[in-house]
Amino acid sequence: MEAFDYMRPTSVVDACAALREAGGTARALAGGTDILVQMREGKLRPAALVSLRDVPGLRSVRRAQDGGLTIGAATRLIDIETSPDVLRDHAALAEAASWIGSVQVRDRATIGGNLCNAAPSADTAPILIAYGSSVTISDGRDERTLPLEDFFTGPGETVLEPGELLTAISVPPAPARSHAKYYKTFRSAMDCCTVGVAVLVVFAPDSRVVEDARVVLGAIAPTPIRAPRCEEMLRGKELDTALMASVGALAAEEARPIDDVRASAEYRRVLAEVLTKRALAAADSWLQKGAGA
Amino acid sequence: MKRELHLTVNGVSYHRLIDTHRTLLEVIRDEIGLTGTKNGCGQGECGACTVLLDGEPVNSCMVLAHEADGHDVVTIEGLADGAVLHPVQRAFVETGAIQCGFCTPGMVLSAKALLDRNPDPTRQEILDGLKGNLCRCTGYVKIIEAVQAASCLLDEEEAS
Ligand SMILES: Cc1cc2nc3c(=O)[nH]c(=O)nc-3n(C[C@H](O)[C@H](O)[C@H](O)COP(=O)(O)OP(=O)(O)OC[C@H]3O[C@@H](n4cnc5c(N)ncnc54)[C@H](O)[C@@H]3O)c2cc1C
Repeated sequence: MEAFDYMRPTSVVDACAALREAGGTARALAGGTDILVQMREGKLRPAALVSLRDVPGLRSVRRAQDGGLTIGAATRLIDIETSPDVLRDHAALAEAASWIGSVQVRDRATIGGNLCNAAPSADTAPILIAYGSSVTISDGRDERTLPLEDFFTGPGETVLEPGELLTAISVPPAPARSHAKYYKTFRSAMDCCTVGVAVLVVFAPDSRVVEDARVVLGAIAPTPIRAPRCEEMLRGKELDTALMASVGALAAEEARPIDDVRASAEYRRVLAEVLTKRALAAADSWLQKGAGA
Repeated sequence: MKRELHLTVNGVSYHRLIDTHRTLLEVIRDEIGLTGTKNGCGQGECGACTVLLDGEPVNSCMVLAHEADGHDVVTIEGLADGAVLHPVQRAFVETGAIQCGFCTPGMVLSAKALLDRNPDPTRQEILDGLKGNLCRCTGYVKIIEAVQAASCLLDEEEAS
């Protein structure tokens, strides 16, 4: 690897200052599982890495009274998949985290790194968006909060400005009678997903009618995207096989996939359809089994 | 840029001045001289460089040495107790789970970490725990058997 400056600040304020002072090509270093690979391949040549290792407050999961979660950006995936607070009402997030890479990768990789790296296939993004999550960004002086779905601007690109850090991810409480599920397909256990689909379904009281839904597609457009037409189609209807099939077909239409080494665009559309149907079927069978009771 | 680095490796404390862009793998092999940890793919895929950092398996090729500053590292050389092999090592030898041997240090450390977390893993849990360690020789059959055997050996040790 080429040489670079390395700093290990002990506060968000100092980390942001270090990023700003080191200039445009300084980068935050969290687990390093994306950035060090990119640097070794010569795709990225940052003048400085600003380590988040000793910045307090970035590495924790907190569950509020109302059941909402605040997850520090530098929380490791291994800690998310095993967190009782996450597993309680947001098990689909724990599961999505547990499918990433290997134990060795998840012992280092962070949720903030997964989001800031902004791969269209980032596995924590679709389920977090399905839960309605927002992100908090700090420049060391001021904070701003925005919906996670507005965070991504393109492959590898986010709204983060130089000198800004992602500090936290807020996940709202899971609504009553709601079911969330993330499904992905991949070529091998260690490869990033060819397609990922997260679906949150909120059922009306005492019925199979869908009150609200979020359908989020990953690895199928330049950023993770919501499929608003699928969500619209679900709202106010009883979830049955015919509806699942129609929503699945619509997901294939909403996708804007590319051909690449992992899969053709056409194949990705088929996967989007299949995984969307599968996630809806999971919600249905959860309801049949007594809605988690 | 050099910076003071303090590492405990296999119980021995090291203080060195190390370039900030060196990986933990490079420091373990080239500075400390422990070459049991292997340099494989350099991308976190193969697991040949696995070491235990504070007891947890990590790919040392993807950890900057200075990120481990002040922490505890165990490499394959630190597993045996003198001439007495660790039960996981013994199980690998007795089961014949080693062919060319290149993946073995990482495989053994991942297996140890798995058994520390989960003393009686199912077959699927073994597969998940070793997902980050590639072996090009064995086809994994003997390796899985070795982990199962190690789990029994550790149980016996516990009981005695
Ligand atoms: C073998 C292997 C398998 C993998 N498999 C998967 C997979 O199945 N699914 C998947 O989604 N990913 C996978 N990955 C990718 C990677 O592990 C994840 O994206 C991981 O979550 C990245 O987190 P990190 O902490 O290591 O990020 P880093 O590499 O430290 O950082 C990534 C980027 O984000 C920036 N950054 C990090 N934290 C912040 C912050 N708080 N504020 C601002 N910027 C920040 C960094 O500057 C850098 O540009 C895999 C990687 C490897 C090596």
